[in-house]
Amino acid sequence: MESSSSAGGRFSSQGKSAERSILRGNSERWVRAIAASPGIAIGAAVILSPQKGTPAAQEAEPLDEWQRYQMAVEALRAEWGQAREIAAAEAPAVVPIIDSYLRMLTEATLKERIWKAVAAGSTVERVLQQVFEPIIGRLRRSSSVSFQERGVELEQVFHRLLSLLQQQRLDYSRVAGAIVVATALTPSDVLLLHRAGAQGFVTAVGGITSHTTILARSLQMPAVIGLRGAIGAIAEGDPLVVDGYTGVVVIHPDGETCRRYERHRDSTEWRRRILVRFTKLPAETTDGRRFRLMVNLTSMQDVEEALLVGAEGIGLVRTELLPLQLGRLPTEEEQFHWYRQIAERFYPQPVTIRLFDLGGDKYSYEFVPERNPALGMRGIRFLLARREILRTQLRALLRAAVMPNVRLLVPMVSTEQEVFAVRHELEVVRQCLAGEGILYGERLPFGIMVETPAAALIMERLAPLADFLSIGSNDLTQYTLAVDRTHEMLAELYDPFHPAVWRLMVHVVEVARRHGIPVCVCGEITAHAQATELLVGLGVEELSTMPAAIVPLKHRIRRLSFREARRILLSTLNTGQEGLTI
Amino acid sequence: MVEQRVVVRLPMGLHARPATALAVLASRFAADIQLIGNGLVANAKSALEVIGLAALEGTELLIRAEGEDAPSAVEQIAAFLEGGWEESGM
Repeated sequence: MESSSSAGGRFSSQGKSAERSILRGNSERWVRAIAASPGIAIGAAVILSPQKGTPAAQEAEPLDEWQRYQMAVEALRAEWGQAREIAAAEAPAVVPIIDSYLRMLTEATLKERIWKAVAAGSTVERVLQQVFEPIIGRLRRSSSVSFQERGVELEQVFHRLLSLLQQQRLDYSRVAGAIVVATALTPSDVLLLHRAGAQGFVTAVGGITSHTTILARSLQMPAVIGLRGAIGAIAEGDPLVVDGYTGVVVIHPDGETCRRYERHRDSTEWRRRILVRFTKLPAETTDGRRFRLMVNLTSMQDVEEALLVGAEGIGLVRTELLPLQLGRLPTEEEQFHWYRQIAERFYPQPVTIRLFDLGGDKYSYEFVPERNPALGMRGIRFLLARREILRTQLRALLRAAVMPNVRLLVPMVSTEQEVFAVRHELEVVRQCLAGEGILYGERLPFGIMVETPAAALIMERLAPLADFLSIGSNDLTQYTLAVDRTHEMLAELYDPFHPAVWRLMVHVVEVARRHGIPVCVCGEITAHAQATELLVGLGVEELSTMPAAIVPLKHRIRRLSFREARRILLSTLNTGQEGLTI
Repeated sequence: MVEQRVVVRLPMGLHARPATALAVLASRFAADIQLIGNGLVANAKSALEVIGLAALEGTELLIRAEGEDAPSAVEQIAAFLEGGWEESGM
């Protein structure tokens, strides 16, 4: 029997639910939630009911209870063991978490506790409840998002164990070609559903960093999570469109919507599958030179996008975002919270936090308008003139640096003295925090942003003061060519391919190499297709660009040879030899 | 009985993977080992109980061990909690 929606033969459902659809009417309903895994899925909903095995009230025979428990654990172990095999082949990153759960469920201390309780006359369900519920409760109440997600996962595992005790097996055969709808899914669920042929899934709970999400992306299953209460609007057999790009779920899509999504799916799917495969591959040239591709954070959405495209870290957190958005300077707590969150999201990949680059065209309400803002009170100059702002930011940063992947970047450096001054302030702040008994990061890598010709030309003196460098190609180009990059009539003169800029960059990279410190290039040039070969030839360690450019950039890098690229770069600069002297 | 106070210095706290690794470590010792913190007492050999502490980084825990190899148990577990475990990949 077919669903009565005009989508016709695309959806089929059992008699009962088709009836429910007719009664309810066919109005299309759009739900917007969290896009967990890209792709479009069009199909019928199969609801995995929350498995709430009910704890039996009456007492039971100890030996019977023990046997029931053994069988349920064996069944769960078999199921998770299967999932682990699939994960080892398709999503190896999830294997350790599956191993963790397997160990938790089969550990000796749990067995002992259950045996003792069962021998004393309790039912298995009751003792499991006594063991799991407090733990789940504490995890879900934690202030850490990842602990909360573990709580949700553990709850699913617990409920699965309860339903296995009542010998409810999951019938995966129903899910072939369908879209699975559930309150929550364990990693094991996702793996087994994928193997059973589910097209995609939708859950009520879920966070972007949960294992379910990571798995869905590895398996290329479109998924939308975090529907919360709205999930109740989906009935068994309902036709659905799941848009994993935007986080939209359409219930009962009409013919027009279906057609539109089918077209969208057909045109983007093949390209997406090729591109998504790249997120798993390294950014490596044909002759084995590896680059770390990172993202420049220009807005909050960039964090999610960066995760989706497989960025290997954040090359630039533009912290001035925060005061610009707030319309005032943020407090230490506000900053700490924000830096910490980003660091946690990307852990263990590097997160490069640039001190406020305010002033110039970005922040002028406190100052008299300048005649030359680009050459004026901005970057580190502004911060050194307003030390209380600098110190507050350093405090927040040092506290966030308890996460060892945090590193600091100083903007608009043009003299050694500026660097000494920041290092001095850092030391002062460290001592204050230590005196107040506040935790801070012991090791905070210190980076210098190279965006002025001066910095590039005195690199021999700056390099020993830094743990890493970041070349801001936008500003470097502007200052080197003496062209206002926002000036409409000078657009042609603002040429990021001008050899002067590249000579400076080659020099910086060379000095950095001699001092053993890595260099990152961040700036619009990284997204420029024609620049990739030159950037590869430059031989930097890191490139930081906008999220949408990551995959195409990686694609280009993988087709280039480093030696060839270097040869081309140097011959373009007319040097005729491996090095440059300035 | 041997006791030692430590501050959890694992950057993401004592979550699933380090909790499991800690339980495996603790299980190598004959002594009875407990982790006490956040108002709770956990058997260090149980990954479930350890993760149930929901111990975020910066939490103070008391390690208590009783038995033959109690001193080395406490020493090794303290070293683990104070950052002796490397997070890799996820």
